[in-house]
Amino acid sequence: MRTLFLFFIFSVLVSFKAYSLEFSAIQDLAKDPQWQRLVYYKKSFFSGIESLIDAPAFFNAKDGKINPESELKATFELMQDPLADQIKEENSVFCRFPARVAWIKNKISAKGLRLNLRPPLCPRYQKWFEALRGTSASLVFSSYFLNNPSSTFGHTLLRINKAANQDGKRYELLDYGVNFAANTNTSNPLLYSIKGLFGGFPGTFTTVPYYFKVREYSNSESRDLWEYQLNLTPEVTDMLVAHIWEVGSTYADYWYLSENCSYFMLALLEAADPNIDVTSKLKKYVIPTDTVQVVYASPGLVKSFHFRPSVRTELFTRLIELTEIEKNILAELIEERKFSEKFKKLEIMRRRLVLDAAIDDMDYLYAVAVQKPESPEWKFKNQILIERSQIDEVTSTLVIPAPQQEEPHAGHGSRRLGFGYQNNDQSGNNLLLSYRFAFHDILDPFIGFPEYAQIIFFDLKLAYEEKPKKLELTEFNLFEVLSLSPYNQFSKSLSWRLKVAVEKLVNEDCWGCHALALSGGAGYALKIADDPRLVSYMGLKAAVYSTDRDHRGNNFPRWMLGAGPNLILRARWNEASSTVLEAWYRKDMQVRYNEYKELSLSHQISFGKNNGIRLTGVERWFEHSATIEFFHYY
Amino acid sequence: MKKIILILSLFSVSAFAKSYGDAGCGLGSMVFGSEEGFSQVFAATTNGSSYSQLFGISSGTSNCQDDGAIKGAKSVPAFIEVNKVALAKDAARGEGETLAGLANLLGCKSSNLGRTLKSNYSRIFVKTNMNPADIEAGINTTISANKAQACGA
Repeated sequence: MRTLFLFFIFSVLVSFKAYSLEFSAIQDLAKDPQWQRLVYYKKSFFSGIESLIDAPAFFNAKDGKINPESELKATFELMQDPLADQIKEENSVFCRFPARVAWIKNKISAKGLRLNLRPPLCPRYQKWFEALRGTSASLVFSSYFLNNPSSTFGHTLLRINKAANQDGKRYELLDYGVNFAANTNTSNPLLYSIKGLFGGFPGTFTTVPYYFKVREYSNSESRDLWEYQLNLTPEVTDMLVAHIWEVGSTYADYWYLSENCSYFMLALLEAADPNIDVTSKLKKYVIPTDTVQVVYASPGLVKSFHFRPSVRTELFTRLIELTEIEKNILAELIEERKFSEKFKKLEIMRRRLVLDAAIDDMDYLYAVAVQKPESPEWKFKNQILIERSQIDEVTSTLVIPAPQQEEPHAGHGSRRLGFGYQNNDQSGNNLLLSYRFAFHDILDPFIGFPEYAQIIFFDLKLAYEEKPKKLELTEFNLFEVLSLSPYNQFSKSLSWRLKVAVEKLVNEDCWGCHALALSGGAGYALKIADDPRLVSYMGLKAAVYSTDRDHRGNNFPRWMLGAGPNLILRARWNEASSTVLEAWYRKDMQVRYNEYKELSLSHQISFGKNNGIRLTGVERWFEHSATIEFFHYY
Repeated sequence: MKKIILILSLFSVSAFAKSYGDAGCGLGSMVFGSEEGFSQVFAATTNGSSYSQLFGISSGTSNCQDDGAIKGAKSVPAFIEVNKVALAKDAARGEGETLAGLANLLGCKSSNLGRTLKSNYSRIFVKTNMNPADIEAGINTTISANKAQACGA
């Protein structure tokens, strides 16, 4: 009898032990890279290790943000709570952290251990999961949008690709996109910039129907989309979706140049799949194209890519089909907003082509106005649509091949390092050193970038001068944008430029002293002989300079304002070489040496996508110089 | 001075209260923005905070969404609301990706639906003043009148 009793006690103890697993059995998982990825632990400068996520609710342990083992233990204990199935969904570890739970369970069974868990039902999570669920994912890159500073470098998001229908087709618009963005609460440009750069805004994840993003980007902002299909299995995709739910209710401080949209997209992928290794290949500061390039270069990660054209790109493709006469009829149609006799005389198939182009043109020119019923644009577009609907012929789907020269993954590295030699008639033989953080100017290797845009962020130019011998700051360009839009019948946008920099100024009080310079200009650009490789720009450029010292170093605060005509001529001879001629004549106020004249001629020959040699000759009223520089992009 | 401020504030309130005919999910006006010109530069259309309220994951239930995912019953109205311009374009042309997406949601063949929307274009898109709810009603009526031909299902 006693033995039976002892046996009973023994079996109860044994079964109790089997019921709950000791943490020590899985303690080593805290160091597993996948655990680090799921909870976003990174080596921290100050305290060793810290999670990028800032919301306290993301952690089950009090010190979970800085202690992976503690967090694992807390999560694990919550999983093993015998009353777990009675906890409300909103508070249950199973429903709040489905990916972590799944990963822990998999690891435990891989160790050959058993777990007895009592998870509750998670109806709310299940419903969401089924809505988003897919069999693979794509990384989507939307191209540069210079009219919105936060989108200057493009943007990336993930798209969860739903399984094909019974008819074997996929309906991409119905997929869900996953986005990470800053919740900005200010439209004050200075505050926006400072907070954006230095983590002043919380960043959150959102899930948006892909059709919503397409309408935003392609239609209202005329941005092309590049969709990179990733080699993910359905199981990995399920893990990805589960993980998105986990991070969905949290936030992380958004740093425009590091922990930004593009970084987090890659981090999400890594959390879902231990075989993906991309963030380690990134530099500390990243912009969206950096991440696209790293993903594309990762062996076996990208299956294929697809180009989704914006309304603007569609329009310009349709225009190619039209004759000159038809283009004139179209331009007149859009301008006059009535169907001319010439239009009515067109043969029905040609009329159809003109109408198809007219529809896109209205959407391109009046993206916002065509939304408002009763606006004249909306009314006229409707007339066009009615006309079109009355022509029986169904438009065949426009097939637009991805423009090879704009492939974002094929572009040069976003950083640029430069070494050079300059012969200057004032300062002698100088050695040059330059470092540019981002991004692209119109002489850099042109593949992978919009042809007529220049975006520069933090370009530091130093010179070790000969007469007198000293290290000199030639220029520190904080931010510069040049947006050239070649003017034609269908694209009448202004071209413009903006620059904020520390530059050297020369006038009677300030011979080569440093000034904070804010300059901007506007004008029109034109393709010469209709050749896209030849472009000219003529505009007005104005600048404000602020100095606080004269050239003897005495405290002498002053500011100066000047403006004048600015001309740019650019010829891109082939894939590897371009020439730019630029001139600026500026009349200054408040000084005696008040006529600033500058003429520069630059030619760059590029070798592959990441190296180039640039020759520059500059003539200013106070100096002439000839420079040769070697650039390396990385 | 007070009068001017009062008048100005009334003006701005009414400007914000303006909607473009979408009482449904509130998604339509958000896509296309309500500001034009230079003010749009810092309006941060793709990164705004109202965006995250509407599409925030586990953000709870709203009119058309559950935790950021469109509710099953609202999938057609939300789709029409956001895509009405592209849908009208596809309908006039008789085909397109947006039209195919709608056909999928409705359980119809896109070639059938395309022909139907094209021949009923005026009634569905023009007479309704591009009001999403009316567009939806128009499409539903047209389909139920002759399901085999209109929908091909």
